[in-house]
Amino acid sequence: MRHLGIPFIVGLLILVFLSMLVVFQVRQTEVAFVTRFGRPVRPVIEPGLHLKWPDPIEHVTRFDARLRLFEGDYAETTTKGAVPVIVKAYVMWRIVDPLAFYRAVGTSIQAAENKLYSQIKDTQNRVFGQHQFGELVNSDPNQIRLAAIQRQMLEDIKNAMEKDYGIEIKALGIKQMKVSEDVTAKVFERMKAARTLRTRATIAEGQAEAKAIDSDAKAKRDELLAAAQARAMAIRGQGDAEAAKYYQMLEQEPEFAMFLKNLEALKQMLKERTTLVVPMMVEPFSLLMRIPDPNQWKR
Amino acid sequence: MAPDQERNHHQEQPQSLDTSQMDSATRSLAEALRISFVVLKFVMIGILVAFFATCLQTIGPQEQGILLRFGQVKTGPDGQVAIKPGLKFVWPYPIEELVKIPVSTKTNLAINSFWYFQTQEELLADKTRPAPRPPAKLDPLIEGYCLARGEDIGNLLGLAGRQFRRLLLTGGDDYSIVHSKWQVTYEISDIKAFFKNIPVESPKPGQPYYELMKKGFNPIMQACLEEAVIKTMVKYNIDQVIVATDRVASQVKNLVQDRLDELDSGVKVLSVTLTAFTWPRQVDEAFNAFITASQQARTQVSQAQADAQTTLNEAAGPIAAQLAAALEDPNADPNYLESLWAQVSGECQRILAEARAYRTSVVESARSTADYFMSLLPEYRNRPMLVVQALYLDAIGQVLSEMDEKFVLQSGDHGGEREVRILLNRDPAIKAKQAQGSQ
Repeated sequence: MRHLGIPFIVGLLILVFLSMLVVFQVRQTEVAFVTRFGRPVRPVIEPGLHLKWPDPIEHVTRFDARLRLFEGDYAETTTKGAVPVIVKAYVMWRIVDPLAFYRAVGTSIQAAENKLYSQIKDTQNRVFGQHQFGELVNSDPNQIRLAAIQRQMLEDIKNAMEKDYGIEIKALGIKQMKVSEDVTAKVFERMKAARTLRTRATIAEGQAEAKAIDSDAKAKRDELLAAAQARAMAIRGQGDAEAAKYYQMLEQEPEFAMFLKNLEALKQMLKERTTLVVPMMVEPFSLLMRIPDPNQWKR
Repeated sequence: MAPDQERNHHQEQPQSLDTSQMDSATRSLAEALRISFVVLKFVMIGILVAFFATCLQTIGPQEQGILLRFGQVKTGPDGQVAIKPGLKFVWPYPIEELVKIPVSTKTNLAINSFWYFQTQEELLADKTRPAPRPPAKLDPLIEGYCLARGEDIGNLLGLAGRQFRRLLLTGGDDYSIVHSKWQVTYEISDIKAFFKNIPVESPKPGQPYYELMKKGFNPIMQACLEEAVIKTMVKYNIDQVIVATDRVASQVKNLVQDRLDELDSGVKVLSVTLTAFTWPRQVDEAFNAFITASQQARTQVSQAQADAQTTLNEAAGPIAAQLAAALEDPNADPNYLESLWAQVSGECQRILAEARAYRTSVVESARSTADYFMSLLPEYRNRPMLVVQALYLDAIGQVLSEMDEKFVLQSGDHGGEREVRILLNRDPAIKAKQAQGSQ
């Protein structure tokens, strides 16, 4: 047994070496294809170990199958109403059919991206040309169709590239949307005008609101005072009604009662700061005219 | 001893004898070979130990691992792909490969691509320095901005003059330009999806995966966030963004997450923050004027509210507003209304107090008059003339004694009438009272 160790190890090494010639590995993040004498023969999509004839009979070419981000340049396009807009779009794509990809662009990712670049511009021009600028941005949110425009662009670019290039366009998005330099100046003028209008409106609203608050408060005050006056009148009425009960007692001798009231009134009215001009014949000033004769008095 | 072992023992005897009979050179060679084999044996053992040592890999506390066997993601017995932190035996490449992904690390990414261009000097300059005059137009290739919903001024056109109205109606489409800065925080939530779909370079020895992860994923995150910002901002005008910053950021976050889920990225957006937002510097003057006007309007309204409160307080005290509301409500509970009247103060309270005083006064006056009348009535009935005259003279005496000036006029000749003309100065107190009343 002791002498079999080294041959076993040597045999194992030879086996490993031979297997490396005929076995190849595709990672979970890769796709590959096999060429036989330089001619592509089969794609390898599934990850794991796969068999092939040793080089130079068969050769394996691998591609990264993970998502790739491709961003186009800023490109001016024209909407349906001939309004220019500058758009920058991005695309998330991946290689799904390595054989088709190889046949289309070889092993050059750059070549695929060049094609994507031109296709994005083409799609952009076509799709934006079917929509009004007001569908991109609008004061009425219900008229905005930006998401639908993106979906339309995605479908367009999928139809144009997926089948022929062995790729999957996973997503397309507009990452920048601008207007031309000259238009920005006009937008600023409009923004200034709109804001100035808002300023005027705000001042007017402030004044109106302040007046409304003031008027409302005064109206409420008047209402409260009126209600208080009404309530006060009722209270006075209660007093008068209660007082009337006592006045009933005066009905026993109404003339005498009125005489007493008149005297009281006279005392109240002529209490202060009064100048009285009175003829001498009025009692008791008649005393000033003559000495009274007790014989004339009734007995 | 077993027969086989005994036979082997006998076979080894002649070899040892042969060795002892070798010449010295051969012995030296044999010794050298023996030592070489021993050294080689130790080297091989060492290589084996080193080999197995490299098979032991550690997954850190912030990481999770994915095991690839022959390039294929290996699923554990529990159906899970992610390998938790700890020590893990991994066969060497190309049999197995352990990919360690930082899942618990929160990554921040600042997006400034919607902000206006600033030179390094401007960025570093003290903010107290006056900002340089901005360009009249924005170069789309240099300046960052996005389009936002225009201001809703349809109902304000009546306030606009002819020139403004023409500008507003024909001055271009209905949108604004705004600048904004954003920050997004994310973490990896599904390492299989992340590993399978996101292009991250394989780390070289000693190279941290986290840095490569950021390098591979941040551009994707930036594109997704920029798209979400573009889509969101067109739905909001400037004032709405200022007022509802959190709502706008939340909407952006949802859109980014939707896009990342669509990409099966295995990334979860933890937060999106609108870190800065402003209108273009080119319209600063108009917007600042608006802010000033808004503040003035608010001050005006606040002043009016304070005055209104004072007016109501003076009228009825702290419960004035409640009382006014209750008075306007035809279904108001009478008990509630009475309780409010009981708490009333100010002018209303004065009116009511006067009324109550009047009530008391009039009743008491009537009562005292009645009492006085009733006390005199029996005597009056016995001697009416005497009582009347006595009362009359008492009263006249009292009145005359309190008067400042008294003029008693004698009758005319033969008891006829006499015409008297008296020139009296106006009472200064009455004049002052009249003057006060006219003010």
